[in-house]
Amino acid sequence: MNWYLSLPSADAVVPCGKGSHTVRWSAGQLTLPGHPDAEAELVLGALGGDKPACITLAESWSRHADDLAVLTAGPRSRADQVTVTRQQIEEQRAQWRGTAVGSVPLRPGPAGSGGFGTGIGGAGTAGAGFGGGGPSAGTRPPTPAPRRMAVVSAAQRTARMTAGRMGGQDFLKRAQQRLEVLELLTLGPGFQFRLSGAVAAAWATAARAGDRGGQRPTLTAALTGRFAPAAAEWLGIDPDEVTVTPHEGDGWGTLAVTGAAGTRQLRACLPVNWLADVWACGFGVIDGHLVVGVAEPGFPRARILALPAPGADPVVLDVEAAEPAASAGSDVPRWSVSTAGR
Amino acid sequence: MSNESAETYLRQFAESLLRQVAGGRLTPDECSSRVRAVAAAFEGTGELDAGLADSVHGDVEVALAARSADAGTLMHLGRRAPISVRPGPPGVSRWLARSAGGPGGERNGSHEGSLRGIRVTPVGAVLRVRADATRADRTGDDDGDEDIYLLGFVARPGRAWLAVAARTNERPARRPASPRSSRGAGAKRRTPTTFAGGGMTAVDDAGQRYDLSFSGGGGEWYLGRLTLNPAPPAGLGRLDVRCGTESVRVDLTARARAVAVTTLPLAVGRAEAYLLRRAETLLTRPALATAEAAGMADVVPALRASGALAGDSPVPGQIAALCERLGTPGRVIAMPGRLPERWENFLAATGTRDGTGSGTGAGAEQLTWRTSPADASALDAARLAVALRAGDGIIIVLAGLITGTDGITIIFGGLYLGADPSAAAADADPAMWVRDDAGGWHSVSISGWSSDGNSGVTFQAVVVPPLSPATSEIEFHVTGSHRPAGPQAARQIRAVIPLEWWSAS
Repeated sequence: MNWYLSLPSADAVVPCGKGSHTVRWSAGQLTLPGHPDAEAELVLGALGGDKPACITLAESWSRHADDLAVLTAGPRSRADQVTVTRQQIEEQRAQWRGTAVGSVPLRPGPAGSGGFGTGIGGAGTAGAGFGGGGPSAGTRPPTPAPRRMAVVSAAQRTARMTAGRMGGQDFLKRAQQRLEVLELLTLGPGFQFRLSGAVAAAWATAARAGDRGGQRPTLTAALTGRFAPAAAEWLGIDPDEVTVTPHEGDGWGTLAVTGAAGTRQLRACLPVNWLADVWACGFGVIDGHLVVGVAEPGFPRARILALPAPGADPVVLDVEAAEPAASAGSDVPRWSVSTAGR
Repeated sequence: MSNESAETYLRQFAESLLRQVAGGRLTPDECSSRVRAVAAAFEGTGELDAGLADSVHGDVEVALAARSADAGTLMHLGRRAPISVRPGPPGVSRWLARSAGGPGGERNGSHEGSLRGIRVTPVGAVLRVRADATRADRTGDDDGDEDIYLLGFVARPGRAWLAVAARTNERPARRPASPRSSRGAGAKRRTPTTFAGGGMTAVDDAGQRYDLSFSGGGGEWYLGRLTLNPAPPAGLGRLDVRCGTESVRVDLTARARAVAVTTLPLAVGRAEAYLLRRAETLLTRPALATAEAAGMADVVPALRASGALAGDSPVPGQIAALCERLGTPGRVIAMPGRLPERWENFLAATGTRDGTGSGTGAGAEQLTWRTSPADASALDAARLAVALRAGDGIIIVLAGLITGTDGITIIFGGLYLGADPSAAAADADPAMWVRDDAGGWHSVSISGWSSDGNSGVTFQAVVVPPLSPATSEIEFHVTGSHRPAGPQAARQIRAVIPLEWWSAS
């Protein structure tokens, strides 16, 4: 079951060379319609030729497709506007150019771990496919291998950072990585949600169960930060009174509301893939139901698992994207319970 | 609280603040500083490793940058200084921490034995250099008289120095305002014969000659140390200190008077100790009170949530009372309680009442002080020769005390890495206080320092309010930083030190 099947494709236009090109997200893949032979261009770049900006961007997408920094920086809800612009990124890069940062070049991820390859998007779109988290119809590895934060346990991470205390090159490298994440967020809300979903999906796999333990605080905050606005919309509860912890194991998780009106607290336990399956696809709250899982992903119709009220058992609902024609190619779909499902 | 729990709390706290920023109820700067305050508290109490504290705060900075229309916001990415567990500028302890092998600094050589071999000897001598004796070396119109007070002698393996306060009317040859080192003199240059000219030398009882190079600063008075070059052997009996044709003999066999040292509980646990340390910063820097109160309002519940701070701890109430006294609402922290006697006494002595008083040489909002006597007349000086373990891997040396006739007291000393340098890896300077024999409390704040080799610094510290030359005995209280590993983390050292005053006049 692929989380991204509940999302339409999304396009963004980015400057590339002397013009601009479209980058497209479709079925979990980032593709470059303007660069049908991206792999060859990458080779040329490695041999000293200019690397097109689209290629660099796609490489960056691949590198950060399992980077939890995307979740700490990215949007928490539809109303949370991430407004960083390409101009800001360029100005920052210009500031750094000619400084020591120049000695920390961006490099593509290691072979086999970044998911670069000539791909065919799930929808049959020609172009180069770049990472996305989760199985796909392309030829790239289905799931990015752990990198950066992924490969180190919390203890290792702590030791590494404490030892360096962000000195010198580590400091700059980290700043560079953060700038890459921000650059990806400049692609707009549609890509922000999709990249966040990819990261969550990458961390939700069974293969990463061990790694999740080391990133529990970050995952807890990522879940809470995105679930709390939905819970507030659902119940009118103060989002500061909502806490979500990662759920491991079978089932959708648990949810409990305690306290009287005005002092209510909500404690939930949800799997990390709630972020990909539900939140990134715009499900959240649909017609008074809090969505806790997806039974059958799809676009413009899907089947979800939702709570009508605290303490109630989840119900299965068929939902459809509002104005599917308008949703296609846009940011994140809005859903409603389909007439047939009522 | 484990690292995981503390990090979870901090990240959840950050999520809450980010929601407020998104809702326009909080500015990005407020969000960042509040996260930083809690991160620093968790770090300072050992609830969260420094790297993780930095990392979480860094993530928040990136999240804020992603939502900022200000292009300059991105300039902060990854470039902010590491979190300090204490407000204000980094102090000498950070330098020491770096020397101990922390980030951004590497040590050359070993510090081992530096504690075991340290020796402090009281000195009380004045070397007077008169202009008519050194006229050939003069370049200005000043009268050129110099009075060089030698206050104490500190020796450790490979290094030795004399604490010095020197009045000179002659400007140093070069800026910054520091007499130049004799080592910098050219081979063909005429031998300097003044303190300001770098003409200090010494000869020991075995006939060995030393150049004395000055480190420090000042105005009418130059305060600092004279380092012996080359390093003398252990067990010097005396030094004949010379400047031009003048000399004075310094007896190095004198023993410091007995000092009674006791260890006192500072607080119940690391969290209380941490909060008290932060609060005491406000006593000498009341302008920080408003920002500090805001931070404490987040820090106190965070430390309570972590279990590090008991729910019935009186410390939050004390800090709230202090903030109220300094004119800042403290009720955001806790219901104001009763001020500790030391704080009450200090505030009364410095005139900082209800935020409207005028501290020593200060306005209502900021307690300030001079860092050097402004009066060029004679000093009163006291022999002070003590070495103490601060309880966090740092050794504190006290090597002299002066009180200017214009009412300013300076303590000369040094901070050295002890046997366990890793324990000194903290950002906070030791908190130092003096209690006089009349019961009055005086803050001791480092106002100038310079490195002494790769494992120590020498410092001058201002005592506020100044000590009267009638003081016959002081209690010197020092509290180290609060790294969790040390069993003395929440303790303070008290040394009862008799003062023997002397004067050149």
